Amino acid sequence: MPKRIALVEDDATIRQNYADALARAGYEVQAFADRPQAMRSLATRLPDLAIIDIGLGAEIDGGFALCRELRATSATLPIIFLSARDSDFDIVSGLRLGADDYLTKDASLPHLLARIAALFRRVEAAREPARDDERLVRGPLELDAARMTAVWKGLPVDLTVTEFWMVRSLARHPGHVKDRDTLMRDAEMVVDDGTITSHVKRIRKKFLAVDAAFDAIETVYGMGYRWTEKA
Amino acid sequence: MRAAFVHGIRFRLLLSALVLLAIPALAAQFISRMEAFLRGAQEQDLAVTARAVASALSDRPALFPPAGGEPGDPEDEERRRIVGLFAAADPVAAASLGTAYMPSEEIERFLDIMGRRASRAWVVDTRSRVRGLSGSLREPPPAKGEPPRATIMSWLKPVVSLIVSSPEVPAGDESKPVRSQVDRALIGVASTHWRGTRDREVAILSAAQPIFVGDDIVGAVVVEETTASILLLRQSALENLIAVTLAVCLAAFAILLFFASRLATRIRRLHAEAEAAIDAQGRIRGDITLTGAKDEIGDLERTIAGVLGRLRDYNAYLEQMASRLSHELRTPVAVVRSSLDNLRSQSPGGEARVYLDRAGEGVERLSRLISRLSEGTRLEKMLESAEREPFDLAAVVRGCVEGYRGAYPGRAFECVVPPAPVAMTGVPDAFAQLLDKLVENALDFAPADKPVRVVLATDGRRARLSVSNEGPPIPPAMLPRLFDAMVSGRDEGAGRGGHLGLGLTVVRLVAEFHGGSARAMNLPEGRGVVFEVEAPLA
Repeated sequence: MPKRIALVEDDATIRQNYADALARAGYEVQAFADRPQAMRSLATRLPDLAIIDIGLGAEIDGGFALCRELRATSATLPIIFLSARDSDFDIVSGLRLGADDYLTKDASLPHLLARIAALFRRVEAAREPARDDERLVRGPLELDAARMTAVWKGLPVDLTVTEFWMVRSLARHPGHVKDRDTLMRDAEMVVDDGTITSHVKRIRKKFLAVDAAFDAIETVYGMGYRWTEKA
Repeated sequence: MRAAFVHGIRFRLLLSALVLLAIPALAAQFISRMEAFLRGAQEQDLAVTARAVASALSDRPALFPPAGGEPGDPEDEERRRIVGLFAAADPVAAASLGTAYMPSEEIERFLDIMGRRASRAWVVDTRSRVRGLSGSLREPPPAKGEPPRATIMSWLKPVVSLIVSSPEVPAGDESKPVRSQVDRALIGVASTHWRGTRDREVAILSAAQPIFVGDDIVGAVVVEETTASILLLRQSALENLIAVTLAVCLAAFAILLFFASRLATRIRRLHAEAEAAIDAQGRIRGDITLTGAKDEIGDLERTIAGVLGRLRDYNAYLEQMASRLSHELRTPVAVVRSSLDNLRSQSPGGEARVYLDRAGEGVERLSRLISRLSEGTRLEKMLESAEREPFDLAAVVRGCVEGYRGAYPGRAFECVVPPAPVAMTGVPDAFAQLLDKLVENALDFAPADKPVRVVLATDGRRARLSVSNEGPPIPPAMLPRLFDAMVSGRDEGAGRGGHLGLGLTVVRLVAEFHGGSARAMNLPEGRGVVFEVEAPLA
């Protein structure tokens, strides 16, 4: 049975294009143009994943409101923001509301599909027993690639898919400097340097929230970042 | 400074205040009119006195017994001469009448009764005998304790004489006028006459009147008076006038000067603030402090503040325009991109694939461009929310240059960094981004075989980071605007298409965020271009 994806996007052309691409990828797509319409339909039957634009017609922050309502209905429903806005403020706001990922409209369709697949994989893996080959352990860090979960010193760190991939890319080869392009590739992002910087900043903050002494991600100015393991 | 004063408000106000000087001039004019009037009155007065004396002596044949001797008596001639000399003599000089003085007690008593202060009256009969003499033209000595008036007046005399014209009085000690006056009185013609004395200021007025017995003229009365009393009056009036008008003028000048200085100070302050409000690049830096004054300068302050405010809003609007524009452009780009992606997934073959790839490339470029449009605004937002932390700028620069060597293996980098840490407070990532932009810019301009020089220096208070390349010089007109958004020194179409001169805006924003500044200079003799960023140390 195909996965059902709800797509809420106010621009008709983009909506149709994304819907077509998702349908071609084998998903069942429900497309909505605004929040009330989406809420009416989704309240009765939750989709398997929701892709939401932030600005919905007249509602500038309609997407945020919709995300809040959906999250209130289901704590596990994967939600992706897809927006033309690329300011840190919007990204942080979106992720704080409980979205699993945030993509700008610069992202190509293959990137979007990869991200959706990754989210589904995470949801499914959460239901299955852990497999060792998907696990990566670096000192106090444990990464489960199937579930896309990160654990630091025994405590879970709530990373988005993008962040998870960045941490995995760094931690796979400790001590090696990963430049921004590599990180971008590994995390399947199409963004500029500044966004990588703010992503790294957010990742550090999330780790710091569980462990105030966290300093495993080192900035190498002009080159990128590296994972350091304390002896 | 002097030229500034001459063209200043103060000078002009003082200049126009010179009009005030017309007041003492007018008043002095008035005083001299008054003096003339007083002289006229004195003349009439004296004539009346002479007539009164004459009529009192008239018709008293006892006083003028018929003279013995012949009319052609040589003694008469001698007496005429003596009387003439006496009449003309200076009042100060003691003149003796000698043999011409033949007083009659009664006449002298008469004259004493009728006489006036500071005047002299005498009676001559037809044979030039002075029959009575009374009074003196000498001033009574001034009362004790009166202040010496000479000082102020003696200074001001040249000035006063310019303004006040003394009535014209014939000078000299000529005896003729009085003698002829006596002669004319003796044939029945009454007259008054002014004559000068050695003291230029003082004149003597004389009035002659015939004395009749019946129809015969038996003698003449001459009454003389000096103008000293009028002079005294005039002098004290002038002194008062000058003292008062001087005080008024000084007060008026002082008030005007104070007022003008205050005005000038306020205008200068406004001028300085308005000047400082907008920097050389036309960005609004300062503000006008409103004093709340209700006058025209207050209005001007409010207007300038308003204009600055509107200009600031407009600048903000322009700056936001880039980011708004980029936001608006994203959606249509997403339409094209998603359409191309869809088309590609249909796996078309042959030529269609080529064009599809080209279209994709074009969209890529467009999207990069759009993202750069909002780079400045995004960076500003990032800096606003960023936390300042202490960092070592030397380490950042060293690391970055190491990175560039890896990223651009074909290019040479020279790097001069002090061995000791260069401690700063700020956002190290932003500084790295700043250096990225400067180096990117230098690489685009420098000839491929020439190195890019990165130099970090410090003088203990400020750090100076410069990136120089041996590329072609920048047109001087471009230099000040180089760090503004949308300005690029590049030729059209060169570079990777993603440049809209926003890179250098980033440099400026980061430098200013760290309390520093950025500037570009051409090296002498066209040896290249250097971009310099200066910022205070921690």
